[in-house]
Parts: sequence; structure tokens; C-alpha cells
Amino acid sequence: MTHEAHRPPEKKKVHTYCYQCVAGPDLLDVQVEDDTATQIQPNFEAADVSPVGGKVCVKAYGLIQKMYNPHRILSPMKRTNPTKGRDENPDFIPISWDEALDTIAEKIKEIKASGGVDDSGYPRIAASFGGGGTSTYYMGTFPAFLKAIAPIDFGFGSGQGVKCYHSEHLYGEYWHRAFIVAPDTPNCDYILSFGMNIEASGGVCGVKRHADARDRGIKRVQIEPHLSQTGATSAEWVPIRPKTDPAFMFALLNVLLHEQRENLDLPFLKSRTGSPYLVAPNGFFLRDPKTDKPLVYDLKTGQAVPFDTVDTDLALEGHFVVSGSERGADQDRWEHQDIKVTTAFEHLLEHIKPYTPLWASRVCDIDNKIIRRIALEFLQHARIGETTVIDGRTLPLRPVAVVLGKTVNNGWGGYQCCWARTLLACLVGGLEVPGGTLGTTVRLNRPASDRNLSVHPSADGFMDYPLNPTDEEHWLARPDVRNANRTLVPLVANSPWSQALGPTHLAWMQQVKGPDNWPQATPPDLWFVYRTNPAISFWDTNHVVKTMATFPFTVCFAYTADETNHMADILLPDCTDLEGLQLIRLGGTKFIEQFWDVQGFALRQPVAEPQGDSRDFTWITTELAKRSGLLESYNEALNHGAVGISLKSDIYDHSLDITKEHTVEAIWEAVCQSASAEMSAGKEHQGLDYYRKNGYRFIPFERIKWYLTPTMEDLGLRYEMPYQEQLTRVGTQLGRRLHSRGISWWDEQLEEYHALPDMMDFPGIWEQALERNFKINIDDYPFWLITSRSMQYAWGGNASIQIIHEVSKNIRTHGGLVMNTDRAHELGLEDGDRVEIRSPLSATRGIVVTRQGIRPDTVMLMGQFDHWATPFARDFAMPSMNSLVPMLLDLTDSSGSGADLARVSISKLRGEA
Amino acid sequence: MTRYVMVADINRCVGCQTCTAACKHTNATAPGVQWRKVLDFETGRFPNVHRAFIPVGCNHCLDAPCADVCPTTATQKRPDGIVTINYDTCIGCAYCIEACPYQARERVDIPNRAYGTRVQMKHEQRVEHLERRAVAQKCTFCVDRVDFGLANGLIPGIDPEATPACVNACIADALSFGDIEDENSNVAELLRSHEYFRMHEELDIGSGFYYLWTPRK
Amino acid sequence: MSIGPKLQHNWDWRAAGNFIAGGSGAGLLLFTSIQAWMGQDVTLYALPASLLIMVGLGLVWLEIGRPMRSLNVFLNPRTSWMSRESIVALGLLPLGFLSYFTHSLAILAAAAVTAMLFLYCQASILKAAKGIPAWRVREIVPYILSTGLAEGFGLLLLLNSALQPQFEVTRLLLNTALVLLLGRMVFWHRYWRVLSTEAPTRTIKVLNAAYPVFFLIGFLVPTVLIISARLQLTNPIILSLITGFCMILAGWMSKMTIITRAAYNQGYAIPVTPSRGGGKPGPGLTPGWKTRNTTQATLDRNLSENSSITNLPRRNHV
Repeated sequence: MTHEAHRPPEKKKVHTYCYQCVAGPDLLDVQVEDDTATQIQPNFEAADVSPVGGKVCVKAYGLIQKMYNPHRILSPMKRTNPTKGRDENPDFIPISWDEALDTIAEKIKEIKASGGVDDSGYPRIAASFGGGGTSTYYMGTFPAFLKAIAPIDFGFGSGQGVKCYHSEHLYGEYWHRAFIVAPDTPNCDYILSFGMNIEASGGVCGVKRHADARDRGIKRVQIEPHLSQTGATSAEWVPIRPKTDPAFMFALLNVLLHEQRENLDLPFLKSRTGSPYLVAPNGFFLRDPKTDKPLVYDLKTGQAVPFDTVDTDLALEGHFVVSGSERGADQDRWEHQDIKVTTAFEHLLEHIKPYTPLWASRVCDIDNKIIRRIALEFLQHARIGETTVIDGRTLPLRPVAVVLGKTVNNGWGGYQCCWARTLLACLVGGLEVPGGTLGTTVRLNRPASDRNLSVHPSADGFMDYPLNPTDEEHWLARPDVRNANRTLVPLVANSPWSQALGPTHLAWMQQVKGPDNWPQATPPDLWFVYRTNPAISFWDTNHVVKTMATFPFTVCFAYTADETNHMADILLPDCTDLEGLQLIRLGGTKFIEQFWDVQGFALRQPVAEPQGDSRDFTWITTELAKRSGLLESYNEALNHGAVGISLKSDIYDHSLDITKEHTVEAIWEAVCQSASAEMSAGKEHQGLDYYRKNGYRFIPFERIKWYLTPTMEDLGLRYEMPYQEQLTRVGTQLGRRLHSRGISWWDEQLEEYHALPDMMDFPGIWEQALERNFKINIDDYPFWLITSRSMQYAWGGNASIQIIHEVSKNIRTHGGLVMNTDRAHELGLEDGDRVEIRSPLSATRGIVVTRQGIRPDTVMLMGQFDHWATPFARDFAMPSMNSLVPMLLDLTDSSGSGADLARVSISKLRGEA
Repeated sequence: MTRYVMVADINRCVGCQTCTAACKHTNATAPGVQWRKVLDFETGRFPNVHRAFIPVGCNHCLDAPCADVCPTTATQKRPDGIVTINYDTCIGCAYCIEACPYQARERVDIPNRAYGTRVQMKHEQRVEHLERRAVAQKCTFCVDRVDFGLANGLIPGIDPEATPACVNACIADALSFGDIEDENSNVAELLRSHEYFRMHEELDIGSGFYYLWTPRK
Repeated sequence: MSIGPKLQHNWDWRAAGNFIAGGSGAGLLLFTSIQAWMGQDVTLYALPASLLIMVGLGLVWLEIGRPMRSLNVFLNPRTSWMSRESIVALGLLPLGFLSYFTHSLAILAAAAVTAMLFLYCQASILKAAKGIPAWRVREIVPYILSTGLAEGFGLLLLLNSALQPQFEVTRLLLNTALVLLLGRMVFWHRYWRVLSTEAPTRTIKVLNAAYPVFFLIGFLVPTVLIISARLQLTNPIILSLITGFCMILAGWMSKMTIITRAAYNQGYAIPVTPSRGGGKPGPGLTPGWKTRNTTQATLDRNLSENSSITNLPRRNHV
């Protein structure tokens, strides 16, 4: 308790949101006394609209320190040491905003004048943002400016595409509009979680939903090499060998398909999936020659009929003699007369046959009894045939779900796992229905605010998807960004998120040595960086650091000094979380387990005087636009909805005069008014005052929108499972395009484009890739090294926040290299010993933390550290796996993703303090 | 009679340390001082391993040994169960720290400055808490908030302004606070509907901190 | 942060110094009084005795956080042994110094009785410290009392040897020494034994290591010397010096050990791990502890705070 001598402090509560990680956004209040932010508190007034009672997680409690952190950069800085490198002191000196902005604006003008694209065809401007898109919710109107200075290469990743849920993003959206997949936790009874660490990464919503579920008696089985927070809070832990999840899941499919077929949700398979589709000899669907529609076999009439024929009884199994045409890749066509064909479902049965629980037990190092039991539990809990009522509509109730975590749903095996998971849901009729496996949102399809509205029919009776073209005429032969996302990965579509979903490590790798028959790699002439630290958070960080040092002009929006802005030419201090002004959308359904019953907008507002000479991001942006001579196109982009809502529509017009320079308040006033107008169908236009006072405004979001199957039923559509005919075609075409240009280095990836995913020796892929590329014997690196999420640190630049560091130490696995206790003792290691962790690429050091909850062949490093420039964090001496993981094409799958997995040797450091 | 107790549901707790941080916020404790924190327990042997997260802090015991041993009466037990410390009376002998089997108390003599003694952040200027230097300190069940609530007709444990910060902040809804003597209270209902234990029960000092570990069938 | 017992650090060598100096001083005062009443001119020993007690209390004063408020220490004699110790000291010190200045046997006797009260308070201070398993056992009281007496007697021997020109090592002296040595050894052993079955494993480790040293210095050597003196095999003055020195040293070392090295706190424990929804509850854990049900093998393993024990009985406390 403070004892103010003279007068009681002027206290107020300011509403804002926290969106430091993708599990948000969540609402909170900041207590302010005499213009000083003093406390973070839940926003209890929002308890009836927020699914979590207005609470925020531990990270948000670091925001006060974040604001007053003495290590903050509080004035624009310019580099005076022209040489860049880890061991070079940048010798930053403070400069005025005028000088900083004018310098950048000059650069932009010059780049725009030249057309914005260099000789290799790549954008001269690059921009990297971190946090899985969360930086958008802190950068004010900067997206509008980015539109004005397009083209931009967003592909210099800091982990996007390779460390994220990559395969799940692409395949999830493709199969069921699921950029991220979540269980319908409030209605679920049984969850199979393959490494999904929801208790660390699911934020407030995830934690609360699952805690409630535990009280209801949910059984969650956590299948993961170490006992994470999620494993700890699960009913059962299955310590699977790393990267063998595909085998486990194929075995589950085997049990269901070959031992329990009659108990599956056969009606769902028949009417909601492509299972009955007939497959022609070349692997593509057999089609009606007249309409080109895929054929199915109607048992009622004993004929093959187009899939959308009504009043049929479709065959799931059986062999039939039929005629039809087959459309392959490009112009390939075959006509078939009286051939014997079978259904996609039969192909699936055949495909899965070898993958028995016994087979999987040897691959996964898990007893086959456990695998079979889990399959049966999954089926039993699915309660096939039961229904429930949502918003007046009767829907299937299937309270079972399968979720995947990182290193499972990315890299090699990601396709297999995503496919198997989606298929498991289909087999029990539990895809996109109450209790089951749900998508959360879309980022490649539109609109993001309601994925149901993104469902459009394809010609084959599935969902249409904006695949990047692979036909000769339209294929983007010459990549337009350095990670070549639309050239190499048809599934990334073409939305603002697509670049981040390409193989972002390619952008880094090719700076050193580009692949054959490829445009010459070029550094960007201007690189913007915000809320991201690739020098710490990507792979082969030593290489990334060296590469960054070759970039000629880097502008970092800087919070504190860090390992990336160590290479910057200009540092710009933006108003941080509690100091800036911005209105964002929230609610509806969104990653990770954000399932709300309302939808609307919330405001972030300055709680007190911003520190030093930091400026609101919107002010910085407007200044840049003005000084670059791009004010009009900037304002136009704002009017067209660059910050999440159009300022003009049929029912309202709050558009800004494009010729004028608008203040921060004026811009957000227009945004607020547009938001209110959108929510009230044009009747109300509350502005900033309203949002400052109330914090947010919501309208109802119907519960039924959580589920996609009602929409699929209404449109008569099927989920494109199990047979990936379109992907086969697309892959074949892509292969032809690449080969015609002499490109063979994507051949392994092309192998993935099979209609039914092949099982491979996934751990072997890693082992062989490392042996091949580093000329080593993998037995010299006996441990699998994995990583795990820290709720306390990730993300938000929290590495330098003292309170975060302090509280995180209570978690035992945060201390260092987690290793199995008995295995450590065998090696003569004790808890607390300092060790070297060596991979074929590089080495780092850390302290041993012995635990029982980890496989003997696995070690774990939590979070991403190894800082050497960030104040406070650089003294942690906490290692990270990132310097140990090489960027290899060999370890990149067809979707362009990799996985956080390494092989290491551990040795005691002698004579060290 | 009234007796305020804390109830922690370790079936729900995920060890996120949100309560740890919220407590530090509200009570502006010095770096390294945690009146509330969550421990990370691991039991068993691979592969049969369990892991639990256990919130700990002052148990506000009925027969508080700290109150008995305190030579200055600085530590007092209120009729409503809350054990308080009068910082101005305490001489910092640390006897109470030795008497507490829950390691709930600390005596530190460092400034409330997160980034080292020479740097004071703006918000830290307001919460120097010099009265806590070199004397005993511990979780107070946010007694100031409780008393504010009681003075304004609010219910501690139900109304947020009258409730300890850790309980307010807990994102798993694992922490509850209330009057165990009131059979209709939230905590009484929780204890009826769950299996529970108190830590170090064998020491028999009447802990006021209950751990729920499973709903009763 | 670790969850097993941690060594307490608030009471360091200064707090130990209070128990050391105060205990020795109190014991010295008692035997000074007895010896004085038996006719020897030893009231001057009351000075070093009182000084010792004063130094001990002074060390505590140096150790508390707010020394300027130290007068508050008297405020809770109703329940606090520290208050009681301080109040007793208020009487003890004047009596002790007075008996030096006045040579009054009556005042000296009063001082001696007060000193015993003081010693009892010190022992009770430790026993009331419920957070430290090595202090809160009943057996600590007789041990602290017996070592205070033994140390005091040792000091008496030293002072006699140094200051009494006609110091005669009588059979009474030797027998008294033997009784004190034996008594202390028995009480030490009982103290050690009760903790060896149930205590933090690190406490047990420390006490196990201390035991042979204590046995040697605090019992075997002086006992052998005394017996050899009884058999007239040793120079009595040398005997007196060494025996006295050993009686003091063993006591001081043991108290330093108990206060600063064996004083691991309770740690944390849970009787069960939760069922997590549809799962089953798991075993509890009392990390870093030996309890009646663990074996030596698990005891050794238990020294690592991260080890976990599967064979502890589930402790249900509903």
C-alpha cells in the first residue's frame, strides 16, 4: 500500500487488449495512477462477453515493466559503424524523427522510382514481422503503407513456415477451412493430442476450456516425447519416439478401418466425404464423359452415376465394371470402357492395411496394446449416431477430437499427420460437428471473420480452394518473392498471409547459395523489421546473423537492442503495447481455441504518457507515407480496409480525404465509426470516445458458426477426404513445370503429391539428411533434440522483461537441457551439470535438468534463447536449439515447411563455473 | 464466525504462473520475492510419470506457529483467519521464517527495483515499500482488498475488488477464496464436491489452504 | 525453483553464535556458582560468563533486520520463547555482572538459576521453530541443555587451569565431567536417531557426517583422557585443558552444525497427483525427505532433489 502524503492518487482504469501471442486477443484493464501505469488486471466488466471472464495470462502481467523497461530504445537511432556483424558495435547515435523518417522516405522514393523490383525480379523492399501475425495488431496503419509501397517480400522469415503449424495451416484450410485445428472442447469427451501443448500455447481460452473439461471428466491422451504442461494435465501420457506420429495415426486408422469398419459413421463417409468416388486406372477420378463430374456407384440402380445424383445408395466398397473418362494432369485424358474400378474408400483400405498396431509399435516405441486401446477408446467415445441441437438445428454429436502440435504438423510427416487426423475425424463423423475436430479460422481463404462464408463449391463437389496455378500458362515460373511460395507451393494460395507460408528458410538459404536454374539471390535494398528477431528465432542462427549483416539498409522498429536490430541502419521506437492506439477485430472463432459467442472490435489505447520519444505507429506510418510522396495511395488503402475494416461501404461512409494528412486520432475515429456502423447495419457510428470508455463493442456470433458441417450440408458439399485427386494432379503439373526448367531440387517434395499419403521412415529422413550433408555418422549424435513452448515468454519481446524471467524459473523445465534422469546418470551427468550440446552444424551450452518425464533418447530445450545482444536476456546463459538446426532442402516438405528437430551429442563441460 | 481460506484445484492448475505475476503486481514485491508461486512437481519413474502444479504461499494457519514465535506481536492472527504482519513493529529477527513449515515468509533488504538497484522504473517510484525492507513479509490474502470489500458490502472471493489478486487472475479458475465457515460459500461447496488435502497435514497446525485433486464421484 | 527442503539462510553464524555463546556462558555461570558455593574463589568467572551471554545477544542484534527496533523483542512473552529469552536476559545480565563486581554468592546463585532459565529458553526457541525439522524435535531440548552444561563445565576447567595457581583436578571434577560427557553423548545420540528415521535427507547427511567428529571430540577423547587421569596416567593440568577444550569445541561445532548446516526447511509435499479428468490419480511426493517407509537406497537417490519416489505410501488427509 502506498501512502501518498499529500493527496490520494488520481486513479483510473483503462481498457485495452493483449495480443502478444496467437492465443489472444484477450481483454484487460490497466490501473493508472497519476499518469503512471501501475497494475494489470482482468477486465471483469467483460466477463459476460469474454469466454474467459475477461482474464489475461501471465505474459500480460509483464506489460507494465515492458512499458517502463529501462533498456527501451526511446529515440530514433542511426548506425555510425558501417560494418555490420555480431562482433561489430553498431555505434548507434540518437537522431531526430525528421532525420530518421526523411532518410527512410528517400530510400523508398528511390526504390519506387525504379519500379520496386530488382534484376532478379524480387521486390527491393522486404518486411519481416513475427508472432504469427500478431504484430499486425500493434502496427497501427502500417499495413496500409505496405500496400502503398508494394511489392514487398515478406518471406525473410523468423520461423514462419518452418516452425509454425505449417502443414496444418495449408492442409487444414484446404480440407476444412481450418488454418488451425481445435477440439470442440466444451462438448468433447476424448482428445488425442499429438504433441499439441495447449496448456502452454493455448492462452487463456485454451487453459480455461480444458480445465473446465477436466472437471467434466474429459480424457485427453497426450502423445509426445516429453511430459509437457499439457502432458501433465492429461489423463494419459504416451511417450512416443520423435517424428513417428504418422505411424501411430496410420495404425489407429488401421484398427478402425480393418477391425471396426461396421461401427464407423458410414453415412457420413458416404455423403460428406469423397469416399464413394470411383478411381480410374491412372489414379484420378473416373468421370462422366459428358459433365466431367466424378462418378460414384449407386447400389440402387447398379450403375455409376455422377456424385451429385439424388436419391442414391452409394457404395463405399466393392469392385464395379464401369465406363468413363479420366482427366489427369495438364491435357492428359483417358477414356475407359468397361473397366474394373473401385472406390476411393477401397483404395484407402488397401493403403492402410500394412500399418498395424504391431508394426507401429516398433516404429513408435509404444506397446501395440496401447495403440489398439486408444483406437477403440476413440471410437467408443465418438458416440456415433447421437445428435444435439445447436441454435435450433439438429447436428451430429461426436465428442472426440484429434489435435496436432508443432514438429508433428510441420516438416516431413506433417502431410501424413494432417491427413490421418482429418480422416480419423471423418471415420467417426466427427469433422466440424459439435464435440469434434474443428477449424478455427481462415487466413488463405476469405473472409477471416467467418470461415463459413469462405465455403464455395468446386466442380467436383468439394470446397473450392484458391490453389496457385500449376498449368503451363498460369504457373508463376519466375518467383516473385525470394521464398518462391506461389511457384513451389500451390497450396499457399494468394492472400496477404501466403508469403509467410512459403519455405521462408529458402529466402535465407539462397543468399549464400541459390538452387540451380533459379534467379540470382539478392538481398533486399530496404528491410523493415518489427516484433521479430530472426537472429534468435530461426534456424542456423549463426548463418542468419551473417546474412543479415549483408543487407544494405535495415530499418527496425525497435523495443530494446536485440540480435537482429544489431544489424540495423535505423532504429525507430514505436509506442509499445500500452502506449499506442489501435482498433482490432476480435471474437468469432480464431486460433488457437478462441471460440466466442460474440464478435466485434476492441480498442488498444495509451494508458499513460508514452515513454521517451517513442511515437505511435500510426503517426510514424503517416509521416513515412507523406514524406515518401505516397499519402494518397496510403489513404486509399486505409479507406479500402487495410487495417481490418473498410471505411466505406454501402451502408456507411467514414472514408478519409485521401489528399490530406490525418492525425492518429482522426484515422482511428473513422475506423471506430466504421466498426460500429458495420456492427449495427449502419445505424450507429460510435467513435473513439465510446471505445475508449467501453473498451469494445460486440454483436452476437451464432454458436452454429463454430461448425462447418452445417454449411457443407446446406451446400451439399463433401470434405475432400480421403483421396487427394486434385493434389495428385497439381503435383504432377508442378513437377512438369519445374522439370521443364531444369529444376530437379524439388523432386523429393514432389513425391508427396500422392492421392493417399505414403508412409515413410520419418526419423530416418532426418538421420540420412544429416549424414549426407555433414558427412557424419548419426550414431555420434544419439539424442533427438526437441523444443517446447513457454507460455511466459512467447511472444512479445518478453525476453528482457524481468518479471517474466523471474516467474518462469518456477517451471522446472525452463532451466536448461531437459534430460531423462536415469539416462543422465548413465552418462555420469547430474542435475545442474554444465554440458555442451553439439549437433552436426554447431554447438551450444547449457545446464542439465534431469526429469523422469522425457524419453531416454530425447532431450529438450524450452523456448528460444541464446541471446547475445538483448539486454537482460543476454545474461541468462540459456541455450536454444536454433543455432543447431541446419536449413536444408532435404528437410523441407512439399508445403515448404520443416520441423524443430535435431540430433545432438551431450558432453560434460569440465572446469567450468 | 468467519474464516477465510484459499482453495487450489490442482486438477485445473497448469502452472502458468499468472497468479505469481498478478500477486507481484498487486503487492509490488521486490525481485525474487514471490508471495504466491506455483511449484512444478514430478512423481514416478519413466514412463509412469505424473506432473502437478502446486500453488503455494502462506497457509494462514489456525495454530500459526509464526504468530506464536513472533517476539514483537508484529505477526497477528485475525479472528477471520487472516495472519497479518505489522511491518513497523517487526524487528526482522526471522524467527517466524524458521517457524513456518510452508516456507511462506521471507526477509529481504533489497529495493523494489526489477532491473537492479541503480535503476528505478516510473511505476516502481510509487511502490518502494520501504516498510518491508529487512522485516518479515508474506502473502496477506490481499487483506487490504478484503477489508475494502467488507467495508463496501462486497463479498471476498466473489466480488473481484474484494478478492485476492491471484484468485482474480487465475486463468484456469483453479484458485478460490472464501469463508469456510459459511456452508453456502463457494469454498464450502468446493470442499463438499471434491476430494482434497492440506499440505503437511501431519504437522497439525490447521492450515487454511486446501488442495482439491479430483471431483467427487 | 526446487521443491525439496532448502537450507535456511536467515539464521547464520551470528544466530548460531547466540546459542553458542549464550549456552556456554549460562553453563559456566552455573558451575561457577556451584564451585563458588563449594568454597573456591571463582566469582570472577561470572565476568567471562556474562560477557559471553552478552556477546551472543549482541550477535543476534547484528543479525536482525531492524536493530533500532530491538526493544520490541520483549512484547510477546505470552507465546514467544524469544521474548522470554530476552526478558530473562534482562535479569540475567545484571545479575551476572553484579556477581562479578560484588563477589556475592547469593547474587551468583540467583544468576545461575536465571542462567538455567535462559538456557531452557534457548532450547525452546529452537524447538518452537516448526519450519526446521532439525530444530523442532523434542530431543533438541535435552541436547541443548546438556551441551550448554558440558561447555560451561569445559570453560570452567579451562579457566581453572589458567587462573587457579593451586588448581586441583579432583575426583569430583573428573566424575562430573564424565557424567556431563556421557549425558550429552546420550542426548546427542537420541537427537540424531530421531532425525535419522524422519528428516530431510540432507539434514541426515550432515548429521551423519557430524556424528563421528562429535563422538571423537565430544566424547571419546575427553573420556579417555579422564579415565587416564583417574588412573594417574596423565598430567592433570594438561588433561584439564584438553578435556575442557574438547567439551567446548564439540558443543560449539554441534551447535554451528545444527543452526547453519543441518537446518534444512520442511520443503513441499503432496500426497497425490490429480486424475486429470478421465485419468487416474498418481502417487504423491515428499521430495528430499526420508520418512519411515523409505529404504537406504531410496535415501541415497533422494539426495537429488529431482528424484521421485514411487513407493511412498499415499497420504490421504481428508
